[in-house]
Amino acid sequence: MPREIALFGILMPSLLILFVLSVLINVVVDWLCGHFGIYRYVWHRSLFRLCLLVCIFGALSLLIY
Amino acid sequence: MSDTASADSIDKPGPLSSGARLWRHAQLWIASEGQRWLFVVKTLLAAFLALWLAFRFGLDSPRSAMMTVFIVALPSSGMALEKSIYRLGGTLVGCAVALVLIGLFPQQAILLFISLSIWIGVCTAGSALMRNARSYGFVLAGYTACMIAIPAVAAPAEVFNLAVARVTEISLGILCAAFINDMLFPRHQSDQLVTVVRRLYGNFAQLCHDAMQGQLSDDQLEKLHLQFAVEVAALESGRAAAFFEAGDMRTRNQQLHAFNAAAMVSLTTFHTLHQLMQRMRTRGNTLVPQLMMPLYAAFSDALLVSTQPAKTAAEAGITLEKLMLLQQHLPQMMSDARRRLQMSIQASQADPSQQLDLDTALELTQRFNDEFSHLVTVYHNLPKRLSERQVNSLIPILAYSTHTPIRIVLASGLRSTATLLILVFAWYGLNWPGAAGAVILAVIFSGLAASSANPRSMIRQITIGFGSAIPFAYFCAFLMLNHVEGYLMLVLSMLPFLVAGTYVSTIREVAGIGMGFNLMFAQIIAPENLMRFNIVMFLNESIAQVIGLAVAGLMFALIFPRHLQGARPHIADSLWEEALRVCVSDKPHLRHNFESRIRDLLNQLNMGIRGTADQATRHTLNQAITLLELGHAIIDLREINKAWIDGHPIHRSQQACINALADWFRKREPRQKEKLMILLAQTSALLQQFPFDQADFTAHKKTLVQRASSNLHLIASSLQDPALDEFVAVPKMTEGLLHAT
Repeated sequence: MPREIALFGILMPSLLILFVLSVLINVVVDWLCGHFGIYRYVWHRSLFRLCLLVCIFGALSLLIY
Repeated sequence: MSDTASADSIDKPGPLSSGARLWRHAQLWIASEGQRWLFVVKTLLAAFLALWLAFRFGLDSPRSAMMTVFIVALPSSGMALEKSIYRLGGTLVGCAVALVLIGLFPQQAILLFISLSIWIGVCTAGSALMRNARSYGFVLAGYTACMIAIPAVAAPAEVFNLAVARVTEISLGILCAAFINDMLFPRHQSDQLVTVVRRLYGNFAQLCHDAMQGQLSDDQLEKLHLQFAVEVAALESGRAAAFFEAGDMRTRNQQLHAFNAAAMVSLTTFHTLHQLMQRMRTRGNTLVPQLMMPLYAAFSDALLVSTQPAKTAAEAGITLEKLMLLQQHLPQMMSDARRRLQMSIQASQADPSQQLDLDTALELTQRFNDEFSHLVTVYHNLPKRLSERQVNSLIPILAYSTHTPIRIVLASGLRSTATLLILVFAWYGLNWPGAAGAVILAVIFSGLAASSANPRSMIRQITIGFGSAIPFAYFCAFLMLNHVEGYLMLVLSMLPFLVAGTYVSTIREVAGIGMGFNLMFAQIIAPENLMRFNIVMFLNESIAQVIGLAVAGLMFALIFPRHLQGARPHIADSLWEEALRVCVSDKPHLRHNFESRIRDLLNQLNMGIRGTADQATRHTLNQAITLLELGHAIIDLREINKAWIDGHPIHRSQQACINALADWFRKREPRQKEKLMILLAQTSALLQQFPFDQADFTAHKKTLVQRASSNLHLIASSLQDPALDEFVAVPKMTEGLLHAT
């Protein structure tokens, strides 16, 4: 996996792109959690969401590296 | 930021042990001052975290990250997240535009400035149009382009690096602010939203109850209408902010829209009914108010749970049951009222024209009953889970939309354009190195203030904050920072000043001063990895910043000084335009759009009021409320009219009325009004003669004719309202004397 990806001639760190991607995935997961009422069983909703983001970002990065 | 609800429950007297009393005092402190200090701690933690990371990453200007934190620091995490996201979006767009503009005019400073100022104008106009968190995104898109393009005039090759640095710093600041705000003792907007919804419902039900009991004066009703408009707008902005929070508020988005819409519509219907009854009471020669008494009594009883309106959604279930029960009795009560009137007419105690009054009142009662039941159903279902809700897909769910009068929008756009052009050419001519900062600052604040309720006071407060920050920043930079070593010492030396600034920004009345203080402090101290202690630069920059702000304030006073947010004449004009639109527009959802726009205009009117409302403002307010009644009746009439075939005498005559109304809304001259009144009377007479022949007569058409006559009656009686007359300022004696001297 290359460390940098060229987007329209601009070199971008691939981790940045992964981060943006994981934020998008996190938005979807967050929406699903709200829809199915999972947040009712969660103590700290924002922390839960952040942890989800960390897990998703970590998993994606580990998949690539 | 103080929590009055908990303060009320704490202040109850009673025998207490000293420990319990201490505990109560502690609770009281936590609810008021504690929240402020928590905000201070959170903001400063986020700011120094951002600064530290910016140092670690070796960014060009770490202060931008820190200033971003101060800007997006808002009391609830939903609001902070909302602002952050729009700030990020605006910054990205602004950077893209700056790159494009520099790419187009790399050597042509004049052309660059002109195109930049047009862009700023467009963005400011957009932000004035929105007046919510989105408008902040617009402002950002405008001034980020400026911040990148103006320094790049001298070195066009650097523009890309500048853009990247800017985006990095801002994103860092946003991430830190969002992280701390959302993780550390978050204050959820969704919790506050629950309070807002409860208060809105409670106030509304109380208003209806009091008005039906005849306990409300016109002045009180006026105030309540304004308050209602503010609450509706607050609910909408709270909903928008809660959307970004983790939790299940997002799944209730549609319901909150429905709640807001239902509340607005049923208030209008209720107000129409109330005004109709008031007019009849003042006339005094009719039996109708007396006949309506049993209905009113039944309603006002159903509105309350024991002695107060339902406080929670669960309690609303009781109200709903009562309303259901009432609904079963309603037809009986209505026919009772009709029968009693018939008897009176036969006994020649009442004249037959009262029939129409009663029919109109009963129809409005029926409509209010339906709409209010819908509102209570929505309210009752709000906290339920998705699976437990019955979804009524027949009623489309529409959002409350803001609508700023177009002249105000255009004026703010032009003002920004002019500000930038004037300053930028002054800078070009002056050749003063600090002037670029002044230009950028003036542009920032002419954009930010354009969407604020009170731009002059905002700019004044920020200027005071900026000015007072200069001596402290001087002290901190040249007497403290030059002795310190390491990040911890930097934090310690800046901390006391920033604590004071942030604390001031939690006090609503002087929030701008605190904000300005912090921004200026971070800006001119400019902590960097390699600190530069340059007094000349310090003075240049600080003078430039204050001059920039002062120029922005001056522009607000000089260019279109009467076209500010909440300016009464423009709101009044917009009201008439909305009424005209109701007569001529064929767009879908006319009723909802009309309702929400008029409420939004009322909200803007309220923003423009400083202290107590003057005579003219109150006149406009009454005008808005009367137009609201009138508009709904017109929309109803137009809907009914669609049922008749073209060329039918009724269709023709009703259409003529609508056209005459449109004519009057356009010109508002007495001649048109006379013509209109004659047309209305003619149409009413025509409807009285219905059915013309047997072929015409069906039960459906009969109800149509009935509804049309009550709407015509409503329109005619609303038109008599003195609120619709042009406002004539009554010159005061004192003013006359002043002129004489």
